[in-house]
Amino acid sequence: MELGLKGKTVIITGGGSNIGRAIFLAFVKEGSTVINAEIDETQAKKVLDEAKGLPGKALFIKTDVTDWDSVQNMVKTAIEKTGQIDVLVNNVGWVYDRLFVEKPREEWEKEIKLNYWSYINCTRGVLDHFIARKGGNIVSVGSDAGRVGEFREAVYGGCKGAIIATSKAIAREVGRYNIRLNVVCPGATIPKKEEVGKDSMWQEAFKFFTPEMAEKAAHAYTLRRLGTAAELANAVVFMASDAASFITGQTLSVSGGYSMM
Amino acid sequence: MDLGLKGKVAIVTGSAQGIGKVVARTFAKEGANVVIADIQEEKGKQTAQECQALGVKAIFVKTDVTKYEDVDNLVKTAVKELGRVDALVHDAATFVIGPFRKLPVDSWNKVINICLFGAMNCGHAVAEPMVAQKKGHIVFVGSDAGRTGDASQAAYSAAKGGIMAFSKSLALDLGPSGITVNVVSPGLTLTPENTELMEKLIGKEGDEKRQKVVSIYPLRKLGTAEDVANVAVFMASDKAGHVTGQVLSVSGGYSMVG
Repeated sequence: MELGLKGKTVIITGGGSNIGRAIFLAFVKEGSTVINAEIDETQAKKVLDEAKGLPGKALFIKTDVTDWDSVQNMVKTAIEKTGQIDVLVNNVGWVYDRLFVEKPREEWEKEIKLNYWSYINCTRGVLDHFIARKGGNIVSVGSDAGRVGEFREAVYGGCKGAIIATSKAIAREVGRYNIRLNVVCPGATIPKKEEVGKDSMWQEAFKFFTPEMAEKAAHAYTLRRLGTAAELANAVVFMASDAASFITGQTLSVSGGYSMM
Repeated sequence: MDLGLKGKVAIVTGSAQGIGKVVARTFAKEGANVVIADIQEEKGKQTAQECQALGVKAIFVKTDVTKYEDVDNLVKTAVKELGRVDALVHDAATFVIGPFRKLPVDSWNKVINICLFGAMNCGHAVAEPMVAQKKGHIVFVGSDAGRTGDASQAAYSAAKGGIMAFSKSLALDLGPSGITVNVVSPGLTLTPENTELMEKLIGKEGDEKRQKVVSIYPLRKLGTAEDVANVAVFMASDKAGHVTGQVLSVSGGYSMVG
């Protein structure tokens, strides 16, 4: 199917590992010019290497998405390097699974910063450009935790729910400029150990998301298996494409039937 | 993106015209062989011919989706002539417009029968080959009327809402066999055949009446059959292999639910 993504410029936040990495490579495969707005330089360079030989172009702009200046700088540099941004994928996220009543306040604040403030900063960062050129596409990675609630992910789920609600509001405001906002929600998506950076949340999370736990969790999915980062990436690429040009303000779960709303 | 549909077999109900026809043609463009299922024989055969011209095998099977024996025959013919069934898209539908309390009670049956019972007949009949294959994708064309209700469309809203609930249950039943079931939900959609009807309902292009309707859509335009067909075919492909039990509105932001 012709998705119209060849030569388009795509910014992906946190494209250094797991879902972000899969999305990054999927767009490069479609022939897009893809910018990794990632804070971990080592991981970003690893992914640039993996992108060699694929039809599109792969770039890296070191970014701290929780810092408004860093985000504005990234967007400015992206426009200077490529002329026009077509797609933003808000992918940065962070969670530490713990019961709400056992969570220290600092972890909540970190979750809100990395999941919601990052979304606000980057979305706001590209919108002036999108409105000026009367076009643009924002796909954000949500979570089923933000749709149906999830044990041990109260505030994380709140942030993902916030991304869903905010995307709808902005979609209403800027739809008239041909700008679309949508959210794609994974279920549990566990990366390979060798794939993640030393500062990744997964270094701690692997203690919780063990292979035994993953096998048990698979029973909650009607397709009886967890999803892969590549499967989530396919849906993100589709939502960002011309084939989805009449879709806005929507939430799509790519989670093997974990949630059905 | 290669959707991996080359050589696959897709059944499309309601494909003599409208969204169903464009779904069938889109499958054909992706290299899938198509089975055109419709109660309208002449138009159905025409669609099959157009798909053949796109380079794939395409057969027409006259089908009244409200009759289970027709749907059973449809699926069995697909397997006999084309070897298997990889995808089913159900778009056969009808509607009756009018304020609910003024509609004759017997006008609802037709709508529920074709839309909802048609969906259930198709879901039931196609499950057998798909479960044997341990693989398959079912897509029902719903409507935003089934998500948020639509004035003067009570039976249609009920039927399309019913399709959504049914699809989730079916997804739960068939998931362990590797089959996905999803709903694509359009809003007002322009098709080659409904220009006159649309003009009657919402005025001509450029009219103030139509402008008012269009301005309700955040994207400031109405849908096209292509918009809906692209999404239906994506959902019917392996690239959406981990998507099941979902409803996705293709309606320019008309409804933003969940």
